[in-house]
Amino acid sequence: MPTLLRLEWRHVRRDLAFWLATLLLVAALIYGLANGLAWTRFQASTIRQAETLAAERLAAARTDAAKFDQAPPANLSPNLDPRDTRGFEFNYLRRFAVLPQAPAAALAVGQSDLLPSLHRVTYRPRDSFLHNYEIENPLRLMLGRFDATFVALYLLPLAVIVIAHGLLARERAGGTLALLQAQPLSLTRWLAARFFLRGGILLGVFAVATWAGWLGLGGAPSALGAVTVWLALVLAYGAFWFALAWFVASHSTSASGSALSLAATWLFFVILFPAGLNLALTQLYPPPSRAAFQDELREGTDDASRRGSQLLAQYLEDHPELAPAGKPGNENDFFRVRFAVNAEVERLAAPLRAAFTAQLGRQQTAIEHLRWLSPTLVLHHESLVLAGTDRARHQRWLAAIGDLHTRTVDFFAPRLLRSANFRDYDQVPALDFREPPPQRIAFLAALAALLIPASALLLLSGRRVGL
Amino acid sequence: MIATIVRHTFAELVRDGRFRLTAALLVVLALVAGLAGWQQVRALHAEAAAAGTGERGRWLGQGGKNPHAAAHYGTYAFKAPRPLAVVDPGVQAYLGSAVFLEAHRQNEPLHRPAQDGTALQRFGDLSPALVGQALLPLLVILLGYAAFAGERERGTLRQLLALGVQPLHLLVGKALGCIAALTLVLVPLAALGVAAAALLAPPGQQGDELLRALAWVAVHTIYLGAFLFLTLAVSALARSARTALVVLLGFWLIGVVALPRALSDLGRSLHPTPSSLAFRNELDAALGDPHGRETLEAQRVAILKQYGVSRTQDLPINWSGIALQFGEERANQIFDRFFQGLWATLAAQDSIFQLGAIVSPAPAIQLLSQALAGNDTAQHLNFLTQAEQHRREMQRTLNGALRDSKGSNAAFDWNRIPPFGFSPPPITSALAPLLPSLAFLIAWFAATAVAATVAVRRLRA
Repeated sequence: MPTLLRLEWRHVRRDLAFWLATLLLVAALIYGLANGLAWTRFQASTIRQAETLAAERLAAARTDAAKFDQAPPANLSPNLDPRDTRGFEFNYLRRFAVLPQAPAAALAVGQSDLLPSLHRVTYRPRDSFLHNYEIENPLRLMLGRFDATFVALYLLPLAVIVIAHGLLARERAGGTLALLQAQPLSLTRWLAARFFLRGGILLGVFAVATWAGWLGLGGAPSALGAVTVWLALVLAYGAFWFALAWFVASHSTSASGSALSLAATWLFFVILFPAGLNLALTQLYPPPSRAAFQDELREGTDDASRRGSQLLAQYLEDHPELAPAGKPGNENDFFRVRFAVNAEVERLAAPLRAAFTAQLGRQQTAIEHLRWLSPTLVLHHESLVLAGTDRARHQRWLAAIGDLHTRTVDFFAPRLLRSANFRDYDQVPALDFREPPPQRIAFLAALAALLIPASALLLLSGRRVGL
Repeated sequence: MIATIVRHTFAELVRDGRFRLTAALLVVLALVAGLAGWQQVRALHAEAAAAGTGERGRWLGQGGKNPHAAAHYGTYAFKAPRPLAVVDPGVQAYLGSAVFLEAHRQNEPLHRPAQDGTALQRFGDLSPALVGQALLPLLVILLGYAAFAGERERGTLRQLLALGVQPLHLLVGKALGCIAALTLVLVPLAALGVAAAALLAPPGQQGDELLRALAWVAVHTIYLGAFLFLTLAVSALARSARTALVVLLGFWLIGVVALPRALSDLGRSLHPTPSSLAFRNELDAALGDPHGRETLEAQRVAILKQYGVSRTQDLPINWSGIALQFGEERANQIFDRFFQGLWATLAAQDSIFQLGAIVSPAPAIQLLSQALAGNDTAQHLNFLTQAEQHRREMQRTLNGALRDSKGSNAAFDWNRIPPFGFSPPPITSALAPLLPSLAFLIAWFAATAVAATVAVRRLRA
């Protein structure tokens, strides 16, 4: 085998298409990593802005409260007074619930450019703050990002196709295959040397470029573990495409036929299957209408506002601690009614929002089952999970925001009713978002899902090499 | 002779099982995607209309209310999909479909359909546009990569040339043969677009939508023509069919798959947009500029002088209405500065994308197709502009009513605020910013046709 590899190396050195494909792939990978890292820097800077704003406003609340205590200003509106719950909440509290970046977020932008990762959670109904999008060119959202995962999913297989499609067929077409068969040499071993040497170089260069690019472009060294896990999956994906190229080469009579078959397979896995599956799932589990959602919410809010006093009575039955203590007819009634109306709006909105979540959940479950049919979807899914830019993580974060909203309402309801002498600046509820432990089994299953078909293809193609 | 070559090429292609299978698959894919899109367009239309009717009913049923309270109550403007979303949904899924029109604020649109989808949508929507722009060029490559290189490999090119067949006749014949075969796929796509424009367009817009559908078919024909001539040129120049195939697949990969993404990322690097948080903070800071209050005070003094009184209470008109409208006018200038600046940045990013058409015709056809379908960013911004104009007019009327309400108990007639109706820009306006794309596309067609002509003139067996 070493002799074969040495002989093959002579061919590889002169194989212009091989080196060109490798070079282009590495250049694309570096560009993808740079893009991903630029995006995560932008996100990190936005998170810092939010944190700075929150800290500055909190500090201003303390400073102004101390100042106003010493010299109370004349005609200060309660909405601007940090010693009043209304003023603190309205004018000073800028608390953001942030979806933290995963260490390897730059590998796959995923859904992070589409779904918000920052919400200013208030005691008001959730729909008043949940529709907060990042500014992004819609064309860019439609096209998707040129990140490292795009390079791995789309371009790596094409590099493999360019390199490997004619490795056997050209010998067959040139008539040298018969000469080779006349030699005391196993054709399988010869072909294995051809594929393994090229595959080893391409995937090895890809691995080195990933590590070097990650560190060289400013990726966090602490994320190298996650990058290596991603790389293991990418290499397994590359191995699948090499195995497929071997299989196709052993069944094809011409290099063109081989290239066409491989290109058609790529087209199926990378373009048609995901797009077709998405179309099928949106037909099977269509999301409810957003226009109807808005319509119902608006109607419900109007109705709740009209029934304010009736709702207040019901609300005070559930929250007797908020009942007025001999102070009727003051501003607090406004807040009591407001909380009662908000609670009703939330009660109406909850099943409407749940309907969206349920349909999305059904689509997501179907994808999680069907992704095993496509190596591209296996790698895509695991890449997004590793990068923390997948939908499931976002849904967990939204659930944590729901919990934060409930705690925020519970915090502010009694305080807004007594309003004055607010000093609980440090007790404002904060987001409690916990990451689940990394799923090693899922990673191993994904690795197996890529390597088992690759091995099967190699076994199936071995017998036909000499045909 | 040309007719013979056309017949021969066409017959050879339609007899080829691979072509028949691929063509049938593409037609089925385009029609399935188109029919799903058709159903969605109708559903979204009905939903937007129903929500709009509900909203109007609520607006008219407000009863006796202070006009400014009504201004805060506001109303929603819903965006209905355009008929040609059936063939190209464009960026529709990534844009909000409802915008809240209220006092003091220019709001951003809500409810992007993509927010309710899974990560699979980022692989691209299966639509007739995807078929036409990404998959049909592959079919063209499949049809033509061996047109000359294959003949050369089989030795039949030498025979043809020896028989005195003009290389140019060969090119024209093969091109027309391929076009005839491609027509089998293009006609169903074109019929789908025309049918959508004819049957789904609202009254009064059918003419423009039909024109858009025909132009959509025309630009795709030019685009595929460019791919066909490129394929034939490469086939004539390549030493083997395999080389021609690899070169063409490489061009398709870079030009159609990788380049659009790379260009959109490059556009953002060169023309970065601010974060939503920074944008809103700066906007809020500008709106809260105390300078405005000073100007309002000057306005108050001028009005008092005009009416010869010393207190606003003594004015024959309601000062609140004037003050509120003054605040609106001042805020409108700030909104214009911020939003026009932001939209100009998006346009600059798109112009980088448009320039990419120098490298590949794909960016040009993507922009043109979206624009013709009415689903590009520019036409969405046109919707937002019209909605904002409606909001401003609404505030002007309500504040005017408040101003004139002094001493009157008459309830405001809510019908004085008309319902919002979006008038899509005509095809000429939609295409105006994309003239460079159109020029690039035609240039690609002409350049590839010339390249194919030059390549076949130098044809050697």
